[in-house]
This record gives sequence, structure tokens and C-alpha cells, in this order.
Amino acid sequence: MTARFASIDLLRAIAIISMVLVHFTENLAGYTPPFAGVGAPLFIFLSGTSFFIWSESLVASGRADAAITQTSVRRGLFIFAAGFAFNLFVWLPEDIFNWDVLTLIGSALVLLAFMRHLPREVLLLIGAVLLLLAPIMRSMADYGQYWENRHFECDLTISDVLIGYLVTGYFPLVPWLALSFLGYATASRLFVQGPGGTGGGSGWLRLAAIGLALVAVSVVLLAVRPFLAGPVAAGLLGGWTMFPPTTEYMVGMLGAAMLSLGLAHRFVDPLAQAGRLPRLVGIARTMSQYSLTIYVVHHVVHLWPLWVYGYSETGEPTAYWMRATSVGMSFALAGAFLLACVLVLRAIGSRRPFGLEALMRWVCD
Amino acid sequence: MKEPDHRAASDGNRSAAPVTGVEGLPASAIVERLSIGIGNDDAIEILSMPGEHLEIPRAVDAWVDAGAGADEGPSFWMAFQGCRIRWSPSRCAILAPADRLGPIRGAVIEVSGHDRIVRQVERSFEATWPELDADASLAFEFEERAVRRRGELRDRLRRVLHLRALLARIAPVVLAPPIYPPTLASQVADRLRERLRLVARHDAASLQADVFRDTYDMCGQRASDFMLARAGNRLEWVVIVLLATQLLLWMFEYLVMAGQ
Repeated sequence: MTARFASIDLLRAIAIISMVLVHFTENLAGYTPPFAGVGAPLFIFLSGTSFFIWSESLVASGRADAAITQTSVRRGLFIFAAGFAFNLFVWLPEDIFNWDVLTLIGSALVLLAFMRHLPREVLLLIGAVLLLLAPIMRSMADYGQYWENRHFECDLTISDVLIGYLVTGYFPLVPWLALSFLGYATASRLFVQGPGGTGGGSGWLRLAAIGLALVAVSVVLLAVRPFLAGPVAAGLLGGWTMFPPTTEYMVGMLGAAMLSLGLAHRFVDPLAQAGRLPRLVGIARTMSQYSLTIYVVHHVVHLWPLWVYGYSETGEPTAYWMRATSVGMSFALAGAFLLACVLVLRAIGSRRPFGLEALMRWVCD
Repeated sequence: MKEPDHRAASDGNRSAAPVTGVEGLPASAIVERLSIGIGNDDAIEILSMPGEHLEIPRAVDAWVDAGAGADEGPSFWMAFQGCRIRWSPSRCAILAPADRLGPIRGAVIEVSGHDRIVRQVERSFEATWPELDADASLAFEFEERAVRRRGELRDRLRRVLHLRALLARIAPVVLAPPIYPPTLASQVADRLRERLRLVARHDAASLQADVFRDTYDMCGQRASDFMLARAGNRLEWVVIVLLATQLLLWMFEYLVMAGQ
């Protein structure tokens, strides 16, 4: 059985809550909350972290290395395929190749299945290379050409689809894979017990310090950008934007994820182990265990009615997209969805017989 | 692993504690706490009772047994050329003519020091067999997961070498044949070593030390080889990543050109 850390559950719950609120308000009211762009990076970072803990638990239980790789690849491909199904049925067929979070996480799991034996330093190097390559590759691909009205659009040609997958989509491999890889590398340092591991020692402090330093670097880059030459300011940097994921944004969010994981590991995990905060820990665990399901279902419950109503009223499914209701109402609906989620999922219990995760285990394990 | 701090066991008798008497014995019977050179607290209390003693006072037995630790084993009597010695690892009574007390005391201190070292080495090894079993696989193959245990393995090898060195240091005395012509002190020492089976125990402890040393020596060799290979491996990976980056950029450029 996989060891659970309340810190990871809590952060993943925060990430999923953030994404639900942002998606409801953006898709229903056309309003982008100030915390938009926080949830997805944290979610992706934690996918790498959780993969490490999951794979280590299999190693500890005596599973053969090849079997772990096979299961990891199957799980990655399952999530990748789920991402396509999600795009097809939720964002409708014309957006099937928009490269959402699920296709990214699926790809990351497949790659990590083969890369998990690499030295940690190599993973860090790959992460850094991905972050540095991203602005160069965006420039080569002419990123702006693929984005119209703040949304990704590509022709259904092999080259455009591949370029979207690699660089220009919503969550392309470059640079988003870096977060998953660095999440894995971070966990391999933080959640290893023993004399050389830092699980029980000051690892959290080092991680938090590195995270804080990265946040500081991001702030400095944002501050000095107006004074830098054009190619650097507009090419290598780009200000604080999630689409495209600029260097400042990625470095800042990576730092925030590391900082929050370090602090949560230090302050939340001991409390959870001591049986304190049982309600909070229980809710966070439920949301974390069902995070993929919540990610898919929250889109379905607010977009399908929108598509159906738009189609029935005007013949165009997206007629009311981003202008269906007020900001306040969209927040209220998001809150109601989250509450209903918690109540229903808690009622189902910890056996987790339903949901995307259960289906993944049934198919892949 | 408990580690005896042996400095000069064979020197013995370097620091004498205050002299005291024992209740029930004549005033000439004195007790001295004498260092046997292993550590600050490692000393033996010796009761010296000069004179010819046809009957052994019960108080001597009681005094020796009162100082014996639970895990030290029983004390024993030894008689030799009109001298009587009641010995335990922490207390010893010598009943002998006044002119013989000094040499006998020196012999007792020397053998007691050696016994203390062998005893501590035996205990150290006895407590660490489970560690050896757990570490044995690393003597064959080292792995990434064990890298964080290198410090632990290094400490264990160091401690084993230290214990082995202790045994080696006392070996010339413990394993030496009886000297000729024999003296009273040498004969007492030989007899005491025989009663304590010191030679056999020293051999057995040395054998155990060899097993521990061989295992941790191999662990160290495997760890060193692994770390050297690992450093080279990382350098290779850096080169691979850089080449892959160049390849990715080249392919991506081709992809972009194809799209246009």
C-alpha cells in the first residue's frame, strides 16, 4: 500500500480547488481570478512527487523492476488516453489536440517510468534544460501564431499537432515536463528516510530555502525585465504569463511548489501523524485521492450544460461560453460543486471503487 | 557497536586510587583501585593482604563477589606457591607474603587488562552480527539506494579495524610462549590466562574480527567502485542530455520548417 503524506494531499487539494474555481469563473463568467495559474503547476509538480512515492512503495513491496516500469507505462498511457477522451467529450472534437494537463501528466509518467533510475542530478539538468529551451523553441515556432483570442488553435496537420504537443499547446512538454521531473527529484530527496536521506531531518528546510530562492529569482527577473535589451526581455523572458509559460512564471511557480511542499512536510505531516487536524486531513486526502476524477467531472458538470443550452438556444454550443452568468454566481456554483464532491466522495469511503483512479488501477495494475 | 578505548593495557597500574580497607579484615589488608589502561573508568580493584594465610577469611569472598557484575561470570580461586588469588573481572584479592604482593599484582593487572579487552571485543561483535547480516549483500553489489549509507558503513569498518587493532596490540603478550626462566609473576600470569582461556578467546575474537573486516572491506571497495562509476556515468549523462537537446532543437526546427 502506498504511503500517504498529508502534506502532498493538502497541496493537491489546494491545487484542485484552485483549478475548479478558476475554470468555473473563466468558463461561466469570463473572469480570471488573481490566483489563476497556481493550481496547474502545483498539480503537475505533485504528479512527479507522487510517482516517486508510489514507485518506491512498489519497490519496497518487492515488485520486480520491470513490472513497475510496465505498470507505470500503462498508467501513463491510460492518463494520456483519458486526456484525449476528455478533450473530445468535454472540449468537443475540434479541440481534441489542445494538449491539456492530462496528456501532459500521462506523457510525464511514461517518461518517468524509464527515467526513474537516472541520477537525481541528471533529472535536475533535464528540468533546467527544458526551462531554458522553452523560450527558444517558442520563438522558433512563432508561438503567437497558434494563439487567437487567448486560446490555442492549430491546424490538424502532423506538424502543427506535434508542435502543439511539444511547445505551443496549453500544457506542452516543453517546459511543463520540467515541473513533473523536478517534483520527482524533490521527492527522491525529501521522502527518503535514513542517514543520508533527509526525510526526518532538515531536508524540508533546504527545500524551502531553494524554493524561496527560486521565487526571489523570479521576482528579480520580473523587476529587471523592463531594463533589459529587447531580445532578452521579449524572447528569453516575457513577464508573468501562464500562456505562454514564461521563464519567470515557471521559475516562480516551481519555487512556490518547492517552498510549499517543504513547509507542509515540516508542519503538516507531523500533525497528521499525531492524529491532529483529522477533518482537514480527511477532506484533503479524499480530494487528493480523487483528484483526476474531480478534474474531469468539474469540467463536465459546468461545460456540458453550457454546450447543451447554447446549442438548444442558438445552434452554437459555445454561444454562452464565458458569458453564461455573473462572477459571484460562478464562484457560488464552484463552491457548491466542491462541497458536493467532498460529501459524495467521503460517503463513498476510502475503498475508492469508482472514479478515474479506480478505472486506471483496474486497467493498468 | 561499543568500542573499547584501549591505550596501554599492558602498562596497567598507572594510576592508583585512594587506598581503603575492608570491613572484617585486618588493617594490613588494603584495597587499591588500579587502572588497567583501557579507559578512564576501566580499572580493577585489588585487595592486597600480606602474610601467610592457611584459612581464607569469608570477608574476602564476600568482597570479591560483591563487585562482580551480572554478566561477568563467576569468580574463581587460584593457589600458587603459597599465594592465593581470588579473581573476578572487576575485583581481585591477593593473599601472599608481603614481598610477593607487588609482582603478583602487576601480573594480575596485565592479564585483567587483556581479559577486559577481549571481553569488550566479544561483546561488540556479538551485538553487531545482525548489522553484518544486513550489510553483507552490499559486499557483493553496491546500488544507488545504498549511497546514503556510505557514512554508516565507513564508521563500521573503522570500528572493526579499531577492534582488530586492539586484538593485534595485545597478541604479542597473550600469544607469547611462557618465558624462561619462569618467575613468580610470569607463572601467575600464565596460570591466570589459562584459567580465563584467554588465548582461545583471543583467537576466536580475531577470527570474528576477520569476518567483519573482510565484509566491510569489500563493502568499502564496492562503494568506492560504485561512486567512481557513478561520477563517470553522470558525466556521460550530461553529454547525452546536451546531445539530445541539440537533436531536439534540430528536429524541432525541421518540424517548424515542414509546417511552413
